Amino acid sequence: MKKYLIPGLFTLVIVAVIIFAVRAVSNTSNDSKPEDSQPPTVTLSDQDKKDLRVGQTTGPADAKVVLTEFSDMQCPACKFYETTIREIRAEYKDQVLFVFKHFPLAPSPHKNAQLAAIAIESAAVQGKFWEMHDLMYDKQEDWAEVDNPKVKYTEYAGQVGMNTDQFKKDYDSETGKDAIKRDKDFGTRLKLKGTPSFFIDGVDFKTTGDPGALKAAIKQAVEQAAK
Amino acid sequence: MPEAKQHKHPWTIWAFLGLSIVGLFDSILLTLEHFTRRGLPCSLTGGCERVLTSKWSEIFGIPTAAFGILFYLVVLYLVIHALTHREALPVKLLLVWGAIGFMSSVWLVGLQAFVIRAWCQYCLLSALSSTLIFVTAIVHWRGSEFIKLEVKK
Repeated sequence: MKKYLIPGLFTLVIVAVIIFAVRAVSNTSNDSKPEDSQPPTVTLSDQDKKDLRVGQTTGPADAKVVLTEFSDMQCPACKFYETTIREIRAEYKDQVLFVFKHFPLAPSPHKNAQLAAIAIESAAVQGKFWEMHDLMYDKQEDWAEVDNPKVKYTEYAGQVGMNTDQFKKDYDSETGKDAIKRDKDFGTRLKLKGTPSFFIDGVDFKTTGDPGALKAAIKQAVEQAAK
Repeated sequence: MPEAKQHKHPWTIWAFLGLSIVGLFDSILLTLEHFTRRGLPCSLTGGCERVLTSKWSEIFGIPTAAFGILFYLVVLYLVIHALTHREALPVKLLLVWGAIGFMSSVWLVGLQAFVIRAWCQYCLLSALSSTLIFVTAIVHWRGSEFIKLEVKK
C-alpha cells in the first residue's frame, strides 16, 4: 500500500497545482472581456421598460412579472437555457408574461440566425410562433450550419401544422424583418453582452451560466408580486 | 545489467510527464467549462461553443472532457510511480492505454470534422497531446525492446 502512497501524493499535488492554474487562467480570461469589467452604464427609461413587454409573448398580458429574453435561435447557450425557460413558461403560465425578443448574431458567428428569426416571425403570421420556436430549438443542430435552411424551416412549418405555401411566401418576403431590426437595435442600445440576455420586470438579470438561478429569480419575483 | 539501468529514465519519461500535465490542464479546463459554461475565449468563432454544447460533449451523462482527466491522470501517476521508485515504466500498459487515448482522439476529431463541423482548439490540443503520448509510448516500447536486445548480447 505504501508503495502507492508516495507517488499518489505527488500526483495529487501536481493535480492541485494544475487545478489552481486552470482557475487562475479561466478567471483572467473572463476578466479580460471588456463587457465583464465594465458595469452596465445603461439606465432603462420608463419607455424602455414598456418596450420590454412588447414582442412575441406568451402568458397573461397584464402579468405582474415579465420575463424578457433577447435570443438568437442559433445560439447554443440559448438552447441550453431553453429547457428552464419552458419549465418557467409552464409552471408560471398564469403569473408570468414571457417576452421573446430577437438578437440574431448573424452572419457571424451564427450564419443562419437572421433567417431563423424570419422563419419564426413567418410562423407568427399563422399563429404558430411558439410551436415553431420550440421545434427549431429542438432541431437547432440540424439547421444551424446548412447552406439553405429554408428547406428545413419549411419542413418544420409543415410539422407544426402550418400551410407551407403561405409560410414560404412569408419567409421569402422577409416577414418580421423590421421587428427583428427593432429588437436588435434595442438590444444594442441596452449594451447586451450576448445571448441569451434576460430582463425581469425591466431589470437586467445577470446570467451566470446556471439556468437554475434564472428560475429561482422568477420564483422570487412571483412570490413578491403575490404579496 | 548496468546498461539497462542507465536507460531507466530516458527522455520519454519526461515527455510523458510534460504531455500528461498539458493534457490534464486542458481537460480540467474543459470539464470546468462544461459545468460553468462561462464561455472560453475561442467562443467568438462559435466553434468551441458548438462543439462543447453538442450532444457529444457528454457520454453516458459524464462530460467527455472528464474521460480526458482520467486518461491523463493514469499516465501522470504511472510516470510519477516510476520516478519515485526508480523503476522502469510499465511499457505495455502505456502502449495499450496510449492506443485507447489515440483512438478516442481520432473519433472525437472525426466528430468535429464531419458531424459537428466546427473546431474547438482546446479539444484539438487534447487530441494532439494524447496522440503524442501514444507516439511516445511506441518510441519508449521500441527503445526498451532495443535495450533488452542489448542486454542479451
